[in-house]
Parts: sequence; C-alpha cells; structure tokens
Amino acid sequence: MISTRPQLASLLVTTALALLGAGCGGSSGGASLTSVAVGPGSISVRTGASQQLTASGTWSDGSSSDLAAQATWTSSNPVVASVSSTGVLTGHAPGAVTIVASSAGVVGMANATVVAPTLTAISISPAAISSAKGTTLQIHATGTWSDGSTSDLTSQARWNSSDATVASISSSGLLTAHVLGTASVTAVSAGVTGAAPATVTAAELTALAVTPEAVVLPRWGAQQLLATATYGDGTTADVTSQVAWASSATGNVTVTSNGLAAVPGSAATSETATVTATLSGRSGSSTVSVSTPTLTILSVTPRSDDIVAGGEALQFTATAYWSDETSADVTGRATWTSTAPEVVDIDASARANADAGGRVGTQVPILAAFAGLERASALRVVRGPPLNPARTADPLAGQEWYLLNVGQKAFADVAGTPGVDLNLLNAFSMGLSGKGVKVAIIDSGLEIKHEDLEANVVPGSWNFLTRTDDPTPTPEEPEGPHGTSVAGIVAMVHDNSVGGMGVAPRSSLNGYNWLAKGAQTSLNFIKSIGGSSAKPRSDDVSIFNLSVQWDNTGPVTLESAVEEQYWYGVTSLRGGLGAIHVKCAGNGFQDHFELACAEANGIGVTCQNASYDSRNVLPYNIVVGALNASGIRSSYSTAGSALWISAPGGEYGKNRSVAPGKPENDYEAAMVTTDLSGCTLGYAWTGADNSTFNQGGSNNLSCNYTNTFNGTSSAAPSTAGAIALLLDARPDLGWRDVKHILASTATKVDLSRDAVIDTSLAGGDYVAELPWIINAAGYSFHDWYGFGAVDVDAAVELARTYEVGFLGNLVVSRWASQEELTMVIPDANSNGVTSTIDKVWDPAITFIEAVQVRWSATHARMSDLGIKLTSPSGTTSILLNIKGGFTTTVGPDNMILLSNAFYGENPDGVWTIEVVDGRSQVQGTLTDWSIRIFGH
Amino acid sequence: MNTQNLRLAVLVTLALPALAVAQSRGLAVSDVQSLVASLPQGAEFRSEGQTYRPVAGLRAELRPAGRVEPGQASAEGAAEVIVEVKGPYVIYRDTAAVSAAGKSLVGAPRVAKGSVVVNVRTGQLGIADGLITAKLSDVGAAGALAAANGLTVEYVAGHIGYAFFTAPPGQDLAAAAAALRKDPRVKSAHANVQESFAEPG
Repeated sequence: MISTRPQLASLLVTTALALLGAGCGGSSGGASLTSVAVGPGSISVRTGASQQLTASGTWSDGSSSDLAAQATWTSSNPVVASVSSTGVLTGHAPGAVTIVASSAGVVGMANATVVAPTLTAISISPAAISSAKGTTLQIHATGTWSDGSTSDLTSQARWNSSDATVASISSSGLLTAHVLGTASVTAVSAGVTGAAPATVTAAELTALAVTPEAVVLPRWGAQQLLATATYGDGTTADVTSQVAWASSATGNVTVTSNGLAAVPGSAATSETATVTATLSGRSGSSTVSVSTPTLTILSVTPRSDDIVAGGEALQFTATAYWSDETSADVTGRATWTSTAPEVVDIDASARANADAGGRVGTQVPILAAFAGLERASALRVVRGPPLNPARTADPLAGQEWYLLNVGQKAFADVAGTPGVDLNLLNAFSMGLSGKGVKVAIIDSGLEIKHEDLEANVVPGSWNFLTRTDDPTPTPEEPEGPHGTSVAGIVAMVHDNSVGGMGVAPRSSLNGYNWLAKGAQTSLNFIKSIGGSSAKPRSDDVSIFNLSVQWDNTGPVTLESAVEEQYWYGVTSLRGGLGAIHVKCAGNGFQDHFELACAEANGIGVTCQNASYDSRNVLPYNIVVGALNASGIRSSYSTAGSALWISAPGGEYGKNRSVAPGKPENDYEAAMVTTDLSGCTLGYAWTGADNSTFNQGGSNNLSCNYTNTFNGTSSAAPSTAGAIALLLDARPDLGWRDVKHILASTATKVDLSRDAVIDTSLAGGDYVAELPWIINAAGYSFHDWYGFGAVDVDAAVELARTYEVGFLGNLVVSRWASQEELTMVIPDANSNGVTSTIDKVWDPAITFIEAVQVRWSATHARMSDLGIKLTSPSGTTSILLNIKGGFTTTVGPDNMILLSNAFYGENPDGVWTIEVVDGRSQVQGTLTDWSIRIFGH
Repeated sequence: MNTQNLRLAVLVTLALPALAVAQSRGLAVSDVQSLVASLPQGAEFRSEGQTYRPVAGLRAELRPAGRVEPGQASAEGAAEVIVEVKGPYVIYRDTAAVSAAGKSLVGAPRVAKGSVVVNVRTGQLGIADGLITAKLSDVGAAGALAAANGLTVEYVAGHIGYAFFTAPPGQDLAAAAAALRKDPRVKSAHANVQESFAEPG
C-alpha cells in the first residue's frame, strides 16, 4: 500500500516536475495515456537481488502498452531499493519503498518490499576431517543463503563434536585430536546444521633421528645404526627396521635394510658416507667415516727357537696385523734388537747370528718393534743340531740304556730301571755333542777304521809297538778290543745308520795303545797323558780316558815323573785350563786278580779299595765307579773314598740261553758299544759264550758291536763323554771346575743303602762302611758312589752360569805329620788307635778339594787294617776298609790314600785318624801318618 | 771292562793253542819269596823310594798269546818254569840261567831291560823296563849326559824337566843311574822298575 511519507512526498514532487518538463503527457495515435500501472503485483525483492518491474500504460483508447523502457522510474528510498531506468529493481536493504513509474505525465506507483535472504545450508570444510592424534586442525563452516550467496559462518556457528574424547572442537572451530577414533563435527547457525565426519589418525611423525650420529669404522668394520622416530604426541619409537636406509657412498659404506652399516675391505680410508634413514617423509642420518686402521698385533716368527753358536744365521720375520684385519710383512721395517748382542746379534734385516763363543743354553730375547708395538722372541743358544738317542738312524742306539734308559734289556736277559741313565737329553737337545773336544783313549788300542768310530778319529793316535799312527790292535793282542769298546761309549758316530751313538758322538778321538803288551812303561804313560806333541800327539787332548786298573797286591809308589806329568797336565794343557783325567776306579769289589777277597765279601765291603791304585789317589784324576742299569753300584765296582763320581758301567749282559747257570747279575744289561770289526776278533765273535748278540745275532751280524762290555772301564768313558758335553757347553771350564760341577750336580743313588757293620770284633760293632754322609759343607758322599751319579743335564745347567774362577787358585799344602809313633793297634778290635793332627793350614785354603793321607805301619797283613779320618768339622771318611784284599805281608810304607768326602769343608783344626785291625792273629803298629790338603 | 770277563772272552776268541785256564797268576807268595831268597841277587839300588836287588835265575818275557799257568813249561823247554805272571810278562825260573838272545830279557844280578828284581822290603818281584828316568836341572844337557855316561837319550820331557835314557846291552842300569846322579845337572835318576801293571779296567 502506498503511504505518503516524506520520502513519498519527495518522490511525488520529483515525479511531477519530471512530468512538467516532459510537456504534458504523451499520446499514441491520438489516444492519451491514462494510467500507468507498476507491476507486477506485490513486489518483493531480497537484498542484493533484482527484479524487473513492469510499467503498464493504459491508453485512453483502452489500449495498453509496456512503458517500462520509456517510463521514468524512481525509488522512494534508493538505499533500500533502487530502480534502474529500465525498471530493474534492486534490493539493497530490507525495508519498504515506493516505486514510481511516470510517463507522459502519468504516474504509476507501486510499493516494493526488500526482504533479507535466509540461510539454507552450512557446509563444513574439510568435509572429511582427518587429524593426527595430538594435533589441532581449524575447521571452517560456510553458510549458503537463500539468495544463493554464501558466507563464512565459522565464527558464528555453534560447533560441536559428537565424541569429544576423540576430538574436541572449540567455539571457533579449532579441532583437537585426542585419541584414535571417529566423531562427527557439526556447525549450527540459524537453525541450519552442517556436519562433517572427523577421524583421529595416529600421531604424526615429527622427526626421525639416526644414532650414533657419527661413526668411525675401520675397513671390515661394522656398526648397527638405530633410527628413532619422534611423533607429534611427544612419543618416540625405534623404527630401525621400518625406515628405508641408504648410503651416500656405497663404495665406502654399505647399509643393510636393518641398519647395519659396514665398511668393505676395499673402502678408501678416511672417506665418509652419509647413511640416511627415511620414513613418512622424514629422514635422519649418520655420518660414517672409514678410519685409518691401527696396528693391533705384531707377530714375530720364530717365537722361540734354537740358534747354533757360530752357526748359520737365523732369519726372523715380523708380520703386522691392523685393526682392519689387513696384514703385511714388516720384517724390513721393524727395528730388531738383541738383549744380549754379545751373544746373539741381529741385523736390520732380522738375521740373527750367535757368537761362536756364546754360552750354550743362554736365552736371548730378541725384540722387534714396529709402529709402537714390540714383540719378543726367545732364542736359545745351542751348539749344533739336536741329538736324540730315541730318534736316530743308529740301529743300536735304542739299546744304549746309559743314554736313555727306558727299561730296555740291551740284548741281555734282564732290563734295567727306566730313567737310570746319564740324564743328557736336554744337553743333546742343545746340540751338545762334544764337538771339538779331543778325547784320548789310553788303552789297548783303537780300531781307527771302525765303521762307527772312524769319522770321529782325528790325527794323533799312536801305536807304541809299531811306532805308527794306527793303534788298531792285532789279533795277538789279548786285551785288544777293550780300547775300541771304550771309545765307542764316548764317541760312536751319531746318525750314520750303523751301530749306536756315543755319549759325546761328535767328539774327537785318539787312541794310544799303552796297554798293549810291551808298551806299558811310565815313559809311554807320560807320553799318553799329554807329555808328547807328536807320536802320539797328546798335548792337545782335552780329556784323557784311563779305563785301566792296576794289579798290585800291596801298596805301590807312583812314579814321580808320572805325577809331575799329571801336574803339568792340569796346569798347562788346554791353554792352562788343565786337561781332564778320567780314571776308572777298578773292578775289584768282589774279586780282583790276586787279591784275597773272601773276608771283604763276607761283610760286604770292597775287596779292592780305590786307593790301592796309586793313580787313584791323585786328585788330578776323576775316579769313577760304575752303576748298573738299575742305578746302583755295579757288582764289581771298586769302592773307596778316592771315588769322585759314578756313571753307567752295567753288569754282564749275558743270556741264559747261551750262558746258563750264572749269577743273576750276569744277565743284567751291560753296555752296547763298538767291538773290533768282524766275527773272528773281539768280544763278539761266532764262538762267544755269553750272549747271542755277541755271537753275531740278528742285530749284530757283522760282530762289530758288543753287548757285554762293562766295568768301571765303561763308567770312565761314560763320564769322559759327559765331560766332553760339558766342555762343549763351556770350553772355558778348568779341570777343577769340571770336578766341582760334577760333584755339585751329582745324583744320590741307592739311598736306602745302610752302613756295613762288622759285629765280629772285640770292642763292639764296627762301622766298616758308612752310609751316605753329608759333610759340613753340605756335600753328600758315599764310598761306593763318590758324590753320586753323573747328571749331565744338571751339570750343563750349572755350567751355563758357572763363573770360572769361582774356585780360585789351587793350593797344595805341605804335609803335616805325626811321626815315629808306636801305637800298637789292638788286634781284631773295633777300638783301634787314634792319632790327631791339630793344624792351621795355609790361610789360602778354606775350601777343601781333596785330602791325602800318607801312612806307615808295621803289620804282616796290612789288609786287616781299616783307617777312618775325621775332619775338624766332624765328618768321618773311611780311607781304607778293614778286611781288604791286599796280600802283601808287610805294612804300608808311606802309602798314600785319598778322600774326597771332605769337599768344601774348612781344613783348620784337629784331624783324627783311627786305625782299626779287623782280623785276628796278626798285630801291628802305626808308626806315622801325614796329611795334606788340596784346596783353595 | 771287568778283566776276568774280558780275559775269558778274548783268550778264547783267539783260540790259540789250547792251554789250561789259569786259576792263579803264579806261585804262592811264600814260594816265590823262598825261591828268590835262594837265588843270587845283585847290588841294591833305589828306585822311586824303594830298594831293589836284581835276581839271577829269573827272566821275564812278554806273555805269549793264550794262557799260561804257573809251573807250566815255557815254549823254550821244560827246564823253564813259570814263577809269576805279572801284567804282560811272564817271569820264568831260568834253571839254565842262560838267556836266549833276542828273547830272554835278562837273568843276571844286574839291572838291564827285562831284569827281574826283588823289592827288598816287600819281597815283591819287579821288572826293569830298560829305562833310566832322570830329573834334570837343565834338560838341554840330556844329550851331553847321555854321551858322558854311555847312554842313549830315549826321550826328553822338557816340560817337566825329565829325560829318559836307555843303556846298551850289558850295561847295568842301576849303575848308570848312580853315575848320572853324580852330575850336578841331575837332580835325581833311577832305573825304572815295574812292580805292578795295568790291565783293562
């Protein structure tokens, strides 16, 4: 409806003016316009919308026409709605207006209403909400209006979540995802609702880290890498196996699908690669560097070895091992040092040389240094290639129990005791063989062409009968084979595939047939023990072996020239070191030539005393007793205080099958050694009556060897050979040094041996033979064994560190005497006579090396008499045993006796001699006695 | 080697004329002493501290191959009886008191090579080995001493100051030694006597 309002009034005025200006209305074909109707009907338009209005003119003739294009249109309030000149009404704001259309002065009017649009829909974006757990997301709401317009309703809408535990949403539309799940988000405005589903997804990966961040690996090294994910919700997880691994430089660093980074052996050192782990668009990385390898091991070969003194050089090698498991020979780059260059020198090329004078057995560490590492190797100085009787081509060596006793029978019937031998395997292992040591066999001769000796025979031998240099015995020589057998024990050639091997199988041999029939003069003896520079050449001998014994039945006097030659030998030969004289004790324990042995045998003492032999009482000799293969005194071995040492001599080596009915010890092992060649000479021959071996048995078809050699004749060369080994180890040892070492290292044997008590004498029991004693200096001694059995290895070991000069200079004291005595010796009485000498000796002697007693007595059967000597320290030694074997009918006249039992003691003080008569019916008188000391 | 064992082996080995195995090495000591006492003896002489006399009617020969037995006749004839086997020697009772040149060594009361002598104190027999041992103050004088005394220098052991002389057959060694001792260049001199002998040990 039209209302006249100020705006309307104004509109009318305006319209009237417009009509005036237009000249009074129009006409159409003569008809005049009568009315204008503005249509259509009720006019309503939404804000923002437009509508074409109509202006229908009615003419006076009743016609009508559309005047919209010609009419003048006016809005009463253009702010609410405006109308264009063509009648298009546009709503601008809700309200009412009057629209006037005029034409030709005719006005038509209509009311129009501008109405507001209505909200018809709300849309939510995103339409499907997906948000990772722990994250927020802004949600938007857009309204769609009835007029087709849209508007952002985010801030006006009312937001809601169907499950706020899954996702909540703020009033401004900010969605927060809490837990995995779904919800419905709605936005409501003007009664219109928009909705969208919301899904909370897993937490979002926010970071990916690889640890360790930096790795240094050697070639061949590997490192497990870890990939750790960090999520939006603040949690982390090991995603090592989930990520994709990659290396930036696979030539240097590889990585497995499980994250194991490794450096191949071909990698270039000091190179770097980046190892990357990728997951869900995130990545992390580690830097892997190839390290410069470090030296981890320096290996030196040989780690330990033997080096021959004066022998060929020994080549060392050094190998370096690095941390990347590579290695290289660095022999030429290492620094080589000997800890004892005076013994073993090593050059820059790692060639070690042992000085020819190097002490055998010396351990010399060799140090190799390279790149900060040092490695030591141990060299043992040896004399030559090792020897071993158990591993030699010599077929008989295995039967030489004296070298290595394993309980073999040595072709006899009865085996010995394993372990009873010279104990020389270690010496052999050091190559000690007696090489360069000349041993003279002063004997019946020497078959210098014997197949198992010839290689060791050197010029200098002598035949006193033929005056030639060939002392090979003739068939007519009754004692012919003896020296050849003695020589074999010393020096059968090693590893020549024949025979056996000697104790010193590379020593040098000479033979002088002093024992040959007609050669046995004191002059020839002097020539034989170093008194000749030619024919024989004996002055360059190191060891004289004297497997000889005397047949005297009473005391004999040693030739003064012989004694002086001995003195010369120990003071001048071997460049002043002194030759070694090895002398057998004798084979008279049970019987001996013309000695009367029944009484001695009856009580179990030696029939022949070692001091019966005038050479045995010289301390310049090493007097040797014999041991059998069971380690006790051989049945025949002469005993006495003059003994120094004992060594293998064996028993008789017989076979019952050949020689039945003999004493048991006849069947015990003897010595396997060389014999005169052939089956017509020597101990081994086709008619031998003692053993199958000697008969040329299967092991001895040539008859060049014997298995029945025995005696202290065997013990002496056993000892001579042992000493040759010792001198091989220490050529600088003097003769007294050798004696000292042997005594100090000897093994006590037969430990359970009791004293021999003679209960037949008036006055009570008499100790006719002592058990083992320990003297005041700590040395053990027994008249049957001296200081005990030779122990080569122990001797060599002591010799290795022995200081030559330890014994000082030998001093031989003057005789101290008790003369013109008239001491009647009670007959057959254990209480004999005693006499003393109280003496302070040369102050230079504080260490006894030997004691000699010289005595005289009247007695028609001197073998009745026994003599004991007691030292100031209280040590008693039996110098002569009662009931001995001498058959002489006169008493001793300055007979000299020797005792070694006081070794090491101080001589100062009272010496007491006790003389006892052990048999009845003959009585005598002690007339004088003297004593002198050898010592330092 | 144990000598008894050795002897048996070797002597049998040689298989020379079958001789009885000796169980003893001579007459009984008392028998020998009685025999010696009954024989002519020469002048005493000293040797190495012992006093000896040469004994006539005994002679020493190197032992023949094979066995010998006291009382056994020598190879020369039934008149010779073995008195003692001493080392490599056999001492025969030379009943004929005749020496066979080149074989018999001596049998007269003077001292020559092979002479049998008796130790005056002990009664033991000894054998002169034919040498004179002299300790000299100047071994360079050995030749001169030999010439002056009709001897021959056998050997000079200058390193110990000894010279060894031999005498021509028939010359008394003891007398020659005594002559040497009178020379101021001679410290000692004696005719060598061997009372005991060595055997294989």
